[in-house]
Amino acid sequence: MIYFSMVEEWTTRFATLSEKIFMGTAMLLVGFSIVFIMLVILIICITLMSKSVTALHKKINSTDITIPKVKEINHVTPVKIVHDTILEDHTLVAVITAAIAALLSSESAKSPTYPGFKVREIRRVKENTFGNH
Amino acid sequence: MIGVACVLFFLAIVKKFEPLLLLPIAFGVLLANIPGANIVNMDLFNPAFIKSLGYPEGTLIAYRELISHGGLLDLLYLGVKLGIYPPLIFLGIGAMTDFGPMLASPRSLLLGAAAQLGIFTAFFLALFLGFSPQEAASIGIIGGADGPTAIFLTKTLAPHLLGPIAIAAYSYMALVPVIQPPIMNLLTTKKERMVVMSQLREVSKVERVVFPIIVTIVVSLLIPDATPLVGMLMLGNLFRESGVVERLTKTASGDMINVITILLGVSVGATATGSTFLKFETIKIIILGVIAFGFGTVGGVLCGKLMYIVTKGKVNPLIGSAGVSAVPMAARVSHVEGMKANPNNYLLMHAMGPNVAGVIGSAIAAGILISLFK
Repeated sequence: MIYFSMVEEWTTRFATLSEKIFMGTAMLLVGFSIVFIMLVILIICITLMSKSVTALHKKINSTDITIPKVKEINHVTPVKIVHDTILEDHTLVAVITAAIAALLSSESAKSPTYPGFKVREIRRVKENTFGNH
Repeated sequence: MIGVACVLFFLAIVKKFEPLLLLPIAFGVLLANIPGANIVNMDLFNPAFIKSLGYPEGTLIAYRELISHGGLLDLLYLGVKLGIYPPLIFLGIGAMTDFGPMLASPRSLLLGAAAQLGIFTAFFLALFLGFSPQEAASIGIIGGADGPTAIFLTKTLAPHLLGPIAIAAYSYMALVPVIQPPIMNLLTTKKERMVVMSQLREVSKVERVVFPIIVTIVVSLLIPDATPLVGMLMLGNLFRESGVVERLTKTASGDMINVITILLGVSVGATATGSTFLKFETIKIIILGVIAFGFGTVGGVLCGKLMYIVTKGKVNPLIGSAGVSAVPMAARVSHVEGMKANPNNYLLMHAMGPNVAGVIGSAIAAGILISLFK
């Protein structure tokens, strides 16, 4: 680098035509060769990287992995209706069951361990004799 | 110079020559040459003038005068002088670039390397025409067809030529579809242009993520002066490929690069004053710029022909011209010329490999020239 800085004045003021041609040709060959060598090194690095990644993928795919089956979610089950305590409104029961199913499926059903649910009973609770608070 | 600015406006707005940069550059030229506006004073960055003010040898900026008397464009020019804007532009370019086609076919890096022949040929001829080695290197880098790289190198080696070199570089990038096809047709036969290349393989996400890290380490260790450009290019690409910083990717490839483009264009244009631009040297620079582009295309196509012979006809030599890193225009030119020879030939993705490889190649070439002549 110091050499080329020193030759600056020489190049512009003192060098003959043939000396300028020689220096220019030398720079052309040196600079171009360095660019080529750098990119060949990059090609080698990229090729080695690609081969390593491919080999790693093959190793992972060759290993047997058993995926446990997810238990089926049973959202809709017959509900035991206790006739003497709740409304005999099957439509209302169906709506309540569907709402619970939608809420739970959005929150938990994504987990592979989610067990599902069953609505066993819907019962009207006795009114509070002291009023609502 | 106001007339020159108007010509540049015409080229940018009517002819649409790289308007994203040429329009702000043209306006910078206009602002800098309005008498009495005092919006820029390039003497504040002139080593001889700085020394006459009493600063120590080697001081690059007259800080006191800049802060007390500097105009708007003097302050914006600091981003160029201190080497901030070009690497940030490369950050945005990296965030927008898909290196997949190059990773699928790493040999396209050879085509990117061969296309840098234009840089060193123009360097050789510039030396021959009486320019100093630093000026010749700055002129030669026009052949890299990469605006930020040309600006980054020129501000280091020959800042007084920044205006004409930036204007030449961006004008010729827009002329790639005019300059390249005759050279491509001259150097290839119809049989070679008709070659249909096989489909590129799928590149995995792991390869895309590891690639920018490897390139940064290898290039920075071997050519430290290329680190600002290559490092920021690869950082932007890592943002894109990692997929975990979508906000940063969006900012880098969108708003950030737009802001920096405006600041860079205006401040580079401001360096083109009458005393620096209206000289015979400017005409030499313009001619050498065309030669640089031409020889870059020659280098890429000849390397493509060599690969055609070595692979026994599997590589279309036309993709070699895409090593001139005017992304994606040079790749499109290869594709269009390929389709002219064979309407069923789709070379665009194959040409993108050498095209993006040329960006890395021109940054490495700039690093080499800075290392040699700084």
